[in-house]
Amino acid sequence: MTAVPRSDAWEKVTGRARYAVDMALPNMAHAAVVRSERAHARIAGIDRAEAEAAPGVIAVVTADDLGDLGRRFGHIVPDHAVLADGKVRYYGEPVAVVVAETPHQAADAADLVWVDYDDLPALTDSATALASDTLIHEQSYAEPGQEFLGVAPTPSADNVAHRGELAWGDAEAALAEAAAVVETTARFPLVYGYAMETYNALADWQPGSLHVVSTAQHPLMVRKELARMFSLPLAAVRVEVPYIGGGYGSKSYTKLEPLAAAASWASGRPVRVTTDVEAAMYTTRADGAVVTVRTAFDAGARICARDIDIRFDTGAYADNSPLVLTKSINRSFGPYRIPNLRVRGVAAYTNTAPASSYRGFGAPQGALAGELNMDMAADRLGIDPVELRRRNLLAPGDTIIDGKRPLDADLAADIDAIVNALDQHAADRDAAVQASGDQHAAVHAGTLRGRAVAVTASDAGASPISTAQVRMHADGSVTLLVSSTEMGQGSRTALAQIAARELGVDLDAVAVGQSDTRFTPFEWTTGASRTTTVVGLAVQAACADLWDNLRAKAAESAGVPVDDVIVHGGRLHLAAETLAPAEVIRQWFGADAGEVVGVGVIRRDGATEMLPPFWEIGAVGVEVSVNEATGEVSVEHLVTVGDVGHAVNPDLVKGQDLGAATQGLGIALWEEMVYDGEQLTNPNLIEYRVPRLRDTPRRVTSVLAERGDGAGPYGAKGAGEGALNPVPAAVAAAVGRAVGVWPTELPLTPPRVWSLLQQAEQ
Amino acid sequence: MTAPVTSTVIRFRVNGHDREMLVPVRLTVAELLRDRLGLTGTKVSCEMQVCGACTVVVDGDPVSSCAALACDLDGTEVLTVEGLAQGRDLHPVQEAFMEANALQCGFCTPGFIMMAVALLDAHPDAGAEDVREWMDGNLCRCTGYAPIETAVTLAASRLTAATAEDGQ
Amino acid sequence: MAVLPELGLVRSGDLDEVLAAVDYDHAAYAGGTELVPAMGLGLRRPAAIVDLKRVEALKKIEVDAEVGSVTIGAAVTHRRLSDHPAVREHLPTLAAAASRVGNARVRSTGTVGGNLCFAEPRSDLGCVLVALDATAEVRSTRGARTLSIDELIVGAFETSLEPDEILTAVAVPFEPPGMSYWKLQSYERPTLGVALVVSADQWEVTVGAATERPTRAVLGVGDAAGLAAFVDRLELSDDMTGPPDYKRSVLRAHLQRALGAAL
Repeated sequence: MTAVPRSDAWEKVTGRARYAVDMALPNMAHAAVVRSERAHARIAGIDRAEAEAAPGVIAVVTADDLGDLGRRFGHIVPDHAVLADGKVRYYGEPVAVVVAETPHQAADAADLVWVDYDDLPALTDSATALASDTLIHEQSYAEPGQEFLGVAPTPSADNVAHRGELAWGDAEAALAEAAAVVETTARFPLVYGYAMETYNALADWQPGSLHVVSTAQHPLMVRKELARMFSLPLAAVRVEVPYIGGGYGSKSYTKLEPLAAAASWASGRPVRVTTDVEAAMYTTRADGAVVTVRTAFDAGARICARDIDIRFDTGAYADNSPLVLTKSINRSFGPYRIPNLRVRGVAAYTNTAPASSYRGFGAPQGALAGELNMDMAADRLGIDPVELRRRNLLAPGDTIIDGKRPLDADLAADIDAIVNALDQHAADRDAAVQASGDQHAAVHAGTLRGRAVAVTASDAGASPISTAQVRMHADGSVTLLVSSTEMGQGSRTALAQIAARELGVDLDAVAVGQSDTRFTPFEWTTGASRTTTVVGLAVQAACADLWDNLRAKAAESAGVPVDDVIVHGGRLHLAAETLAPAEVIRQWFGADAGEVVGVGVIRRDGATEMLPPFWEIGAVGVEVSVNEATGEVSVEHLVTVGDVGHAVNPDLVKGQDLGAATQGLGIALWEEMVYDGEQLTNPNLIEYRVPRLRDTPRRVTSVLAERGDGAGPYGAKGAGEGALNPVPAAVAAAVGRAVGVWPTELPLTPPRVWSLLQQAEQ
Repeated sequence: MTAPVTSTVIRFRVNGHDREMLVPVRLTVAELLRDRLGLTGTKVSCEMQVCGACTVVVDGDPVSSCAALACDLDGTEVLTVEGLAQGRDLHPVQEAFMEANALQCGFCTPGFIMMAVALLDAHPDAGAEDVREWMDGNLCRCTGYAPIETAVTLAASRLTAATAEDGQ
Repeated sequence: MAVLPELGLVRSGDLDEVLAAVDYDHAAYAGGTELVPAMGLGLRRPAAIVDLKRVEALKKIEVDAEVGSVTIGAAVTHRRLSDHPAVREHLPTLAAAASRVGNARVRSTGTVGGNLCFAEPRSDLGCVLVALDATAEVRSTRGARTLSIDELIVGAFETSLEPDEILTAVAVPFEPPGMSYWKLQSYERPTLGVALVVSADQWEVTVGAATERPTRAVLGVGDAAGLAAFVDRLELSDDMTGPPDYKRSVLRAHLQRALGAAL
């Protein structure tokens, strides 16, 4: 379709756009959270008398004050304490919340809450936790029949938050008989999504109702957990999500909302809870991982088997990590023909910040080892790494995982596009070198170069449960209502484009209302790159329903059978006349008034019966240069392929691809949460370094592959995660080629690359 | 010795309007703008002067409003994102951000725009390297920066062209 | 969001009144780029801040052509320093370093005095000023004294100022020929800074950012062995910007390139 400008641009360049942190309610009070100063300890006592007596304090709330409210939440494993209940499991865990008239008074009083701890051994990494007799959770939260998207909680024992396995054939036997076996172990760091609007929530509890405004990506999921916590009907809980200042998965599911709601309930006032970056880093991060891949090849460099072990550091609470682990298992072995496979995964509880969803959802963790392993194998087998991939890639329509949707993408063509772009850049560079002669060579002395290609295929966790509503008004303009959130990805624009096209109206005539559970219809989540595909289908269905309703009304007004009304070219054709939709509405109501509504529902049937609704492809190439003296890595060229089937808005797709790839570059080169003992050493943006403008690749090639092979509107598939997933692996492989030693951990900071250079010298 | 005060009266101009307010010494400029004046276009994120989301322009200089004290505004002129447009007409930097698709979630956008405004007001002839040096001090997690660089460059070239025209 | 603690303010345009107010609990305050975040994190809890910005004497930049020096008031911002014609003319390396401190916002408010007195090791100005043989002018109600920058910065986050003293200005001799400043900066603050003054008969090497405080060596031209010994002896920090071995290696490579010395 067309690259129309974003519909939210004007609001956002004028400062008019409203985010949760900008919202206020009359008589609103402010909360300050007292957070644990221990990683693992029993709470011996909380002295709050001084805080309660401080100026402006309305309430000091601890777990003991929660009365009949649910004390734990968690959509897969209900292990997550609203406020630490008897023990703390990570440094930074909320222990108490102070509610006061002003933010200053709340913060001042929070400093006067004294917590006594009896220390327990702090298990701050996954290997230690899995080997320890000390239990982080002493009880199991698993109950019979409990499951979420087919994932049932693993009974907690031995600090295991979840286990999973996927296998076919006989990997063990194939490995034993193979011509060559290549093994790779790679460590994926703990990373923080750093959405620039940090987590915040505003809650207003009143008898029989609860209204929450927050940064949640999935308002309906939050509504469900709050309804359970407060024993309220779903309808009594309203979750409103204005623009979100960045999500990237880090705002999936429930975060601060129970805390804010409890504070409102306890104080009888609307209460806002905010976080600074430090508190946000302790609220949710991505799962760190150590992944070992062994791949067996036959004499023709064809894969005979892959055997993969994934160990996640999931932190103190499970949050969405069981699902992330399940997806990581599915996404770790790559879109290759693998006759024998075994993947085993374990997610360990540790005394660190809870981990959950983050853009890519287990795919980057698995692909780092999996794709690096392909490059190492190519070297071992003496063939070109691209050729090795081509020889093993699945073709369109092939099965990746039995029982799932066959591959709906042409990966070989994607790789051709990448190689062409990389070759073009190399040719341009060579030409520049020739043109400038010695001068250019001198500038580039002490610089090493490497390039790599990586591919991933993700079974999009895009549950096909979605509803959309279109209301056509008496002038033919349309209000589209959906509950998917707008966090920058451009859903507001793309969904309006689909509605405009389906209804034959100008884009200007479509207004969009989003993510307010009191008014907008049900939506599963906003994640997994699902919105354009799944919600797009719901919008199409709603528009079809609207046409049906208009036909019926036109027929009724004219006194003819419905079949005599034909919809064509955005108008309704009857034997006697041709009517615009607005005329049908005005005729039927007998006034310049009224509206006609269409509802679209998507569930697991028809085009979305087979899961996943699409495979999200990640296909990238990078060329890097490495400064031999300093270990600094520059990305000379980044190539992304947006294999999206159909780009509803090409600018939005390219924006997603570059943004996602840039986050991948951050993980590859800079980002790491560092625990030294019980707490983070770098809980701030000075030392948790994210990509900056000067870090951007010198050249970017963004390719859109529009082959109409998706199940979504006009053949669309999702984008948003894909371009991140293979980037850490591609950069690791490219740096490995430049330096001559394969990296085993990320991020590849200058000192780490320098130490690889030292190894290469020896 | 002069005894310390915990609040002080400040007189300043914000977005063209004169103000006189009694502010606590501990109040930051960001708190003043957002909580007391309702100017929520200014965003707060890293609180370490790294991200630039809170950038406002004080007497022509870009300032991290989260780390500046409101009491220091006495006698100054403050410009925030809300003060850029002339009525319905957007500032050229705002227009360029729209045209270049230089935003996604939008949370960093006011800060980037104010930084660009400060740069182009002080250095109407800003070149590519000036743009990179100044804009490198702001963070964006969505766009990958390229569209932002394009937008600022576009605004710079238009402002230069407009200045040249005025001069003729 | 972080909130600052209750705080008092002393504000005067009179240097003597300001000096009378400063002590351990009443912190000298100018740009606030270091002090405000430190208070937000609870690392510093002064009862009051004493605003230096209204004292005009602290904001002067004066050239003494006879002596051949520039006196820079402690409350001069990085931006004014880097943009000032006299500084650009007589102290081009300092002006260039100031133009790359932090980011454009930090340069708007951050001051020379704040930078030196906070004594954050990962900083550029201290290193450049030591290399320039700058001196610090210090005042209190008890009187005035003059120190070298080397005597002012005594350790990481540590100066030799008494609690009642403030830095009023730095006096910087005109830059000698053959001066340069190079830094490796991969994070928000520099990892390693190296100021060189190369004359006909000597190499002056000042290393900062990776050391607790700027550290200088004066060597004869071509004294590679002496240079190597200096580099080997340096105590370099071990932090997330890299281990000491890394920084030493980068330093060695830079000196080899810049001085043509085989190390």
